[in-house]
Amino acid sequence: MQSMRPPKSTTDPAPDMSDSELNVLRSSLDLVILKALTWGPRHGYAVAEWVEEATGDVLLLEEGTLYPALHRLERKGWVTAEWGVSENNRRAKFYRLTPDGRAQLRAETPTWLRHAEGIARALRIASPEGAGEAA
Amino acid sequence: MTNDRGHPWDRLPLPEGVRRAFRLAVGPRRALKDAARDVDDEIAFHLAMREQKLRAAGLPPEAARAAARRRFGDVSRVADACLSESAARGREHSRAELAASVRQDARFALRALRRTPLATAAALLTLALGVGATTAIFSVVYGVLVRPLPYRDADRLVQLWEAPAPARDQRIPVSVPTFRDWRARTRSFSHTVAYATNLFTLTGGGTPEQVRAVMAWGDVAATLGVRPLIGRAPDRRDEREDVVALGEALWRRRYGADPRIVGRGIAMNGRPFTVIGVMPASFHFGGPDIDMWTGYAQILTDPVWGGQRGRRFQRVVARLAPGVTAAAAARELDAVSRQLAREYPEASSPGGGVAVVPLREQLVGDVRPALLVLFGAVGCVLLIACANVAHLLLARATARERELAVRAALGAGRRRVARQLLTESLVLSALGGALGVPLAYAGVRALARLGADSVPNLDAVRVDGWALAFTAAAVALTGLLVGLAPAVRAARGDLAASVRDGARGASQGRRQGRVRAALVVAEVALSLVLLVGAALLVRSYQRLRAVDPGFAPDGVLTALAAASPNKYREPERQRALFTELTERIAALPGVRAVGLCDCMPPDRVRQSGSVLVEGADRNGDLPTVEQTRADAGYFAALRVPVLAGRAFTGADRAGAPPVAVVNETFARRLLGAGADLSRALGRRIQMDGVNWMTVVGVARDVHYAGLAAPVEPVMYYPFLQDPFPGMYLFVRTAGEPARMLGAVRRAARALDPELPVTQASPLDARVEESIAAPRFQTTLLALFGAVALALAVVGVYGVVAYGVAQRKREMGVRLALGARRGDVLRLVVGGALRPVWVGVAIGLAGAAAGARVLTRFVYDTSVREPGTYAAVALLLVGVAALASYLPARRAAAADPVGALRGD
Repeated sequence: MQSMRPPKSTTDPAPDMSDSELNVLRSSLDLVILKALTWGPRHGYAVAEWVEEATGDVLLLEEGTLYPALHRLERKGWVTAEWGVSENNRRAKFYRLTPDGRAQLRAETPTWLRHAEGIARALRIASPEGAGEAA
Repeated sequence: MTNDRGHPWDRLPLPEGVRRAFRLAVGPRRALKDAARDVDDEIAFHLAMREQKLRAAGLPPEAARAAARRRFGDVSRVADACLSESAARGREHSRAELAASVRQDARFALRALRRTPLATAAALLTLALGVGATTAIFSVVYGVLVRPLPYRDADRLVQLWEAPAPARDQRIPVSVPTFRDWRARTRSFSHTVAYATNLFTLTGGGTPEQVRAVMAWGDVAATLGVRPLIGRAPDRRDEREDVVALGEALWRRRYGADPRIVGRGIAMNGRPFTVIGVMPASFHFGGPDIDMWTGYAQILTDPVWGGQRGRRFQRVVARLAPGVTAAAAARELDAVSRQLAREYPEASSPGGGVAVVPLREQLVGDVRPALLVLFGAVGCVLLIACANVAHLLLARATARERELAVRAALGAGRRRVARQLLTESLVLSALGGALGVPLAYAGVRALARLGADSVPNLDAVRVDGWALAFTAAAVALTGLLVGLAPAVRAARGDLAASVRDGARGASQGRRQGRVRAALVVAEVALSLVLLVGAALLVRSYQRLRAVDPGFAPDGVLTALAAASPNKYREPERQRALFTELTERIAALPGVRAVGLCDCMPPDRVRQSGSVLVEGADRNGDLPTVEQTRADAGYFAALRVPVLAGRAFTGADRAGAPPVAVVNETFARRLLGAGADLSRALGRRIQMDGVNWMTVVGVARDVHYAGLAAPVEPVMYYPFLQDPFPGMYLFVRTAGEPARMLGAVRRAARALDPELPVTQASPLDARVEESIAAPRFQTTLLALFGAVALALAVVGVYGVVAYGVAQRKREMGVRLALGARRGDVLRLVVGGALRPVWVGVAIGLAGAAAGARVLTRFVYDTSVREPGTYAAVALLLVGVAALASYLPARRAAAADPVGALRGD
């Protein structure tokens, strides 16, 4: 977990800010992973493929990030893991959504949509100077 | 790590399901290794898949591999993050697992306990009684004997007495000049206070009220290390000032907690006093019911009390100076006292001598032996309780040996089995302890009620948490040790043998039999000791109750009418007041008789002094008798028969010939009356060395020094010939005496609004109160004896029932071979009684040795009465025989064939 934290320099003006950023990233990734598993058990690679395709490579800058997230979800009891055999006959770890995980997804999705839409709407309003707009 | 030191179970090729079913957890080290391999495999799979996909898209193998790694990011960092997540999950998991398995153990234990409801109920009852009673008594012992007094550094406080050399254990108060010299000539004490108690009549602002005051000479606050609530306490400045510090209770009750009370004047005994402060409610210096603390002007301005070296009336409390021990202080003070004895030989006890007594010793010294006896008794109860629980658990463990063996064979580790057994013991102890808590609270409350009249500070005693924890732990430990025995056996691998032999493991059965017999011996011996003690006290208490007080206490209201000595200075006024008062009370409807006395039977007489009997040898030691003034109505009101001559009459007034009434003991011992009491009539005696008084009557003996003390010679003299401003009223009523109090008070107030009528109480209540201490001890010890008996019976019953169950087959054989049921019965009961006899023998010896401590508590009873010992031993044996008869009859009634067939 610690290894995921961006290295903090001593001159970092707002370390808390980066933590909350991290939290936003983390929980959004968690939610997308849960979503990926609604179609049934998948191994990590398949989850990564789906996430990249579904988000257009925005969320997963490095595919490795996915795995600590999966383990975190397992710890929270939202997914369970089981070793099985992949489509190309290799041993692979499959993740399955638990009822708790499904409930979490149902509960969090509307909130995220509302927030994301609200933020998007706000950011689209033209500023007087025309500065700070999203590219 | 090449050396896998995990549990052997880990290496067994068992399916996960089996492992889970038998809760075989893998070791933490091993689990971590597994997790690391899993993470590596998972990442390797991902990289391989990505690489394959990139190659399928046309990248060369090397480039595809590099690109896959690039897209993945730092592999080792990801692996670390995954591992720390999964380690956290493992920790949470095993915690949850542990909690779940503890819950499961507890559930299982409860189920197992429910399966044997009788044994469980017996164990729980035993535990609850043991924990409850021990905690209650321990709390009292701690609260009264151990808890620090409410003074700063209370162990530095001592009480000082004169203790003349011929009788060193005497405690004689100190006169004013002596105290002054002590204070001037010693350096061992940093502060000293001399004090005396006094009754004041508080007037002005409300009804007149009798208050108890301590008159203090010295710095009260500094000596005791207390802080006044407001203002200050009396100190050296107040030697000759009429000042007073009020107690908080009085301040709230009478002055509405007025914060500006300091500086106000109040009237007491017709003198103005200035209030200098208020002392907190926790401050009880001088006695439990002191209302106020005054300066010392009353004493020091009085030439008699304040000036005579022979007037020994002050108590002295001192604080030891830093670094000075009580022994060193005693040495210094002793030297001073010898010096004073040489300087003032006529006013000193020969040779001088002092006693320096730690204050706590002074306050609780009297009750310490009683409390320690109770503590010892309750300790016996606790021991018996532990023995009993040991019995019950032993029986259960034996019955379940087979079950445990099966569980072990199925793969439950020995730690697991041991944990199961421990859990059961702990659940049992916890339940029993929990039941004991309310019992302890109820016990302390009951003790506080029961002992309020005989044990100081009892109202402040609370259930002590440590005591509760201690006794619960003691019982739990017993449970654990006993519960562990089969677990230890399990660990040694005897379990297989257990499975084979069933519950009839022969040698083990014998060993257990010995343990159980030893437990019975101990229980019987302990309860015998307790029961003998209880029986002795009960017998003594019965005799005490049966003592004829010499008067008829029921239906009599008593109260103190204390007129102000300043207002009623002249004897004539005192006479008029009480004559009028008794006439008014006698006229009240429902009043049958009214009497006055300055005594209060059964345990208070005003003074004792020497008498001179006419015709007796003047030069010998004059006999000391109790002297008390009574009026004409006293003997009738108390129904004290006048056996010869007459009681006082209204004609025995001032100016009439001085008369006296004596009691039987006086008549026989000092007047040689013998069988014919009338021979005492007409004899003349002197109590003041001047006036001859003629004996006109002989009254029946009345106890004035407590029911337990033998009656001493008593002489009564007429109130009218020697009046006094404070007299007890004795009002014999037709109905409930307490209901008459209002009317009596109104009569007094109508006569003089400033005349307080206090200390009202029915006379029979006073008689009860006078034997409160023996009642307290007797009730408790009897209670403990009963509990011990009950526990011992349960123990004996359990052992016999178990033995019978073990020998069912043998009984069957005997019956089948033609033994009669009576023989079988005798065999079983006889066998069961063997350890009981041993216990009785040991117990009798122990009781005979231990009963000495009771000597000081018994009245008219020898602690060696063989009858009591025999009766208690018989009772125990009889009850034990009965307890073994029931299961024995079951065994004898068993169908021999069934017993032989059955396992």
